Amino acid sequence: MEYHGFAGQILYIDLTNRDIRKEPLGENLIRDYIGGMGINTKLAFDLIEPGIDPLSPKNVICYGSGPFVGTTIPGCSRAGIITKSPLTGLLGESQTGVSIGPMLKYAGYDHLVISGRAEKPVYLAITDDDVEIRDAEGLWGKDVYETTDLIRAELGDYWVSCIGPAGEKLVRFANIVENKSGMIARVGLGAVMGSKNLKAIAVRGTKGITVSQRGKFRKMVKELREKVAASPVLDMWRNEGKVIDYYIGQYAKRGISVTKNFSEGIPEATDVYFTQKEYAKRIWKNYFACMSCPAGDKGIVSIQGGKYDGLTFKISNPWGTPLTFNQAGIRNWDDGVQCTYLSDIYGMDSFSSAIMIGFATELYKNGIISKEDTGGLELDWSADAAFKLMEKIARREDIGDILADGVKAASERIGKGAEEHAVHVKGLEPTMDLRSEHFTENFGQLVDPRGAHHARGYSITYVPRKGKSIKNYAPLIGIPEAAIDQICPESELDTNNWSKPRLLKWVNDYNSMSYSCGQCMRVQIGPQYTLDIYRDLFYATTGIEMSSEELQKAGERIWNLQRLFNVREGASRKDDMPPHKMLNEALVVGEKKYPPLNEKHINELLDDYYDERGWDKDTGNPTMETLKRLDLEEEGRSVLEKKS
Amino acid sequence: MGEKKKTRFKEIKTHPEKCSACISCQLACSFAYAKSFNPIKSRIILNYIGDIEREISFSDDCIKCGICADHCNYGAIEAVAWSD
Repeated sequence: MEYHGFAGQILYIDLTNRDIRKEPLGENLIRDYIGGMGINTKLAFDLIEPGIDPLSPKNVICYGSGPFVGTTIPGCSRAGIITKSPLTGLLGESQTGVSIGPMLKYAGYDHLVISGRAEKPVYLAITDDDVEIRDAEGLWGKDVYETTDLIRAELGDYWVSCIGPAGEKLVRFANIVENKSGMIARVGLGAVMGSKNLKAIAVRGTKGITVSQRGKFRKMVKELREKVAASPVLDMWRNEGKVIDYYIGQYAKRGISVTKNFSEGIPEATDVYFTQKEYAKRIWKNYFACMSCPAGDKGIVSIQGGKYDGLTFKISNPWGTPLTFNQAGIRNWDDGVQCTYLSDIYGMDSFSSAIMIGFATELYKNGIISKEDTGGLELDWSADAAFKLMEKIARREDIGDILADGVKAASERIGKGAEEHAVHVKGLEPTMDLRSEHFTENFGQLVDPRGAHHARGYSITYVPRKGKSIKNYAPLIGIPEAAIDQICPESELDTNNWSKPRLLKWVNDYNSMSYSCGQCMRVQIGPQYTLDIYRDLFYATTGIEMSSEELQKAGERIWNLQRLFNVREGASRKDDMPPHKMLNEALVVGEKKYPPLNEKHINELLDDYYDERGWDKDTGNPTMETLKRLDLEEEGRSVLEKKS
Repeated sequence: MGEKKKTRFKEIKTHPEKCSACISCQLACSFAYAKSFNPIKSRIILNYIGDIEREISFSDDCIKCGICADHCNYGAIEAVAWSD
C-alpha cells in the first residue's frame, strides 16, 4: 500500500526482552479508526489485558498521531497516548500539540507501542529505521529541562519526550513533557513511563510525509489559513494575555472557574488578583505556537521584578495555568507562575497539583490531617506551603507519598471523612465547576472516558447560546435533522434550555474524529472546520475516500470503544455522577449563590445522554445493537457477555 | 536599468522576534522542493537559542521564491520585491 498523510508503520518495542519490530499500518485500521487517538484506542483495547496494574510491565503505552500531523494543515500537530491510567484505573488518554508526533512520522512511524519494563533506566533513540534502547542511568533524577538538554547534548537536534522526578517516583498525576513544553497530562501517563524505567524518547527522522492530491491540498490549506488569520479572536488569544478579561475572567464571574478546592467562586479573579494589565507589563514576553498553527496562543513568560525576577520559560496555557493555582489559594501572578514552573520541571500535572494542595489544605483546616502528617508543614493557603507540598508530592515525602496517588486514592487512605472533600469524576479532578450552569464542555466532564475532562465536549456553547444558534451550528458538524429536532425543539429556539446532553453526544463523536486526524479544536481553529471540510481534507491528504457519514461513524466508534474499555475495567453509570461536594454544597460566587446539583436532575440529563447514544440507561453500557451498528460486535461480546 | 532578477524576490527579510516557531515556513518549503513535509529538508533554517530566542537563516540552495513568507502568519518573514 502506498501511504500519503501516514508514515505507514507501527513500531513495537518490548522493554523486557528488548524486542523491536515494525508492522505496516493496515488500511482497515485507518478506515475504522482514522489514525492518532482512534488507532491508539484500538491498539490499547486489543493489547491491554483487563484488570492489570497500570504500573506493571503488562501495561502498554500506545503513542501516535493522525494523518494531518506533520503537514501544513493549520493547527494539526496533536499527538498523544492511550494506556491504562494509574490515576483512574480506566482509559488513560492525553495529547499535546507541542508533540514529538510529527518527527516520529518523519522517522517512519505513525504509532509507537511500548510494553514490558526495562531492567534499568533507559531511553529510546529513534533515528529513521535505527531504533536504540540506550542507558539512562545518568538521566535518572534529572528534571524535565535537564533531561531534554542532556539528551540533545548527546545526540544532537532530536525532538525529546521525557519524564521528570515525579514520573520516576510514580506520582499518579505525573506528566510526559514533549520538547520542554508539550504536556501529555492529567491522568498519570508519566508514571506509566516511570514504571517501565523509560526516562525519555528521542527522535529524529529524515523521511518525508507526502499528500495524495497536492493541488487540492494546497488550495484547501490556503483557504483554511486565511480563515484562521481572519478570526476576530486571534489577536486576543495571541498577544499579551488580552484574552484574560474575556475568557478566564468570564469563567470566574460565571462560577465555572472556582477557588480553594471548589469551595467558592472568585468573580473578582481577573479584576483584582490576576489582572491583564499586570500580566502584559510584568509577565508576558512573547507568543509561541504549536507546529503548523497560525493561532500562536502559547506563551513565553519572563517575570520582571519581584521574588522571581528573570524567571523565563514556555507555558502551553500561559495565563490559564498560573491562574489555576487559585485552587491552592494563590492570588497573584508571580506565585502562580512559580507554581507552574515547579510542576513543569518535576513533570507533574499543574492542575492536579493545584487541586491537591487545595484538597490537603482543606483537610488540614478541618482537622482531618495535622502537622504530624505533613512533616511539620502548616498548610495555610500560602505560596510557601504550596511550593513545599509540591516538592513533597514529587518526592513522595511525608503526606506527599499519600497525595501522590491522587485525590480519590488519597482520600480513601486518609479516611475520617476525607472522601467528601475529594472532588473528582472517576478519579480525575474537574477543571470546570458544574453548579452555576451547564454547557457541553463542563457537563461532558461526567461522561468523558478519562474522567472529568472537558476538551472533547468542546463546542460553541462555551458562551450561552440560544436554540437558534444550535440549529445553525449542528449541521456543520454533521448532526442529522431528526437529531437536531430532538436536541432543540421549536419551543426552545429563543432559550438556552435546549438539550445539552443530546448535543454533547454528537460533539464527543465529532471531536473524537477530529482529534484522531490530529486536529486542534481551539476556538481560533476549530470553528473554521466542518465535517465536510474534514472529508475533503482527509481525501486530499491520504487519498482514502471516506464519506462525511463514515468519518462521523468512526468518531462514534472510537468513543464507544473507549467506553467499552472502561466497562471492561468495571466502570458503569455510577461513575458518571458528579463529585460529592457539588451534589451537597452550594457554590457562592460573589453575590450569587448556586444550590448544590440536584441528583435527580443530573440522572435525567444522563438518561438523555445514554438515550442519544443508544446506551443502556441502567448500566450506562453501550447496547449490543449500538455496537453492531458500529461494527464493534466482537469487542462488545468480549466485554458484555462476560459481564452478564 | 533595473537590477538583474535572478530570483523571484530580491530579498527575504526576517524578523525573528515575531517568529512563533510554528515552522509552517519550513514545512511549506520542503513540500514545494522536496515534495514532502519535513523541516529538516527545508531551505529555511530555524534555530532556537536557549529554547526562547529564535534565529532564522537560509541554506545556500534557497532561491528566494517567497513560499516561506507566504506561509508565515506572524509577519516574521518578508519577501522584498525587485524595485522595478
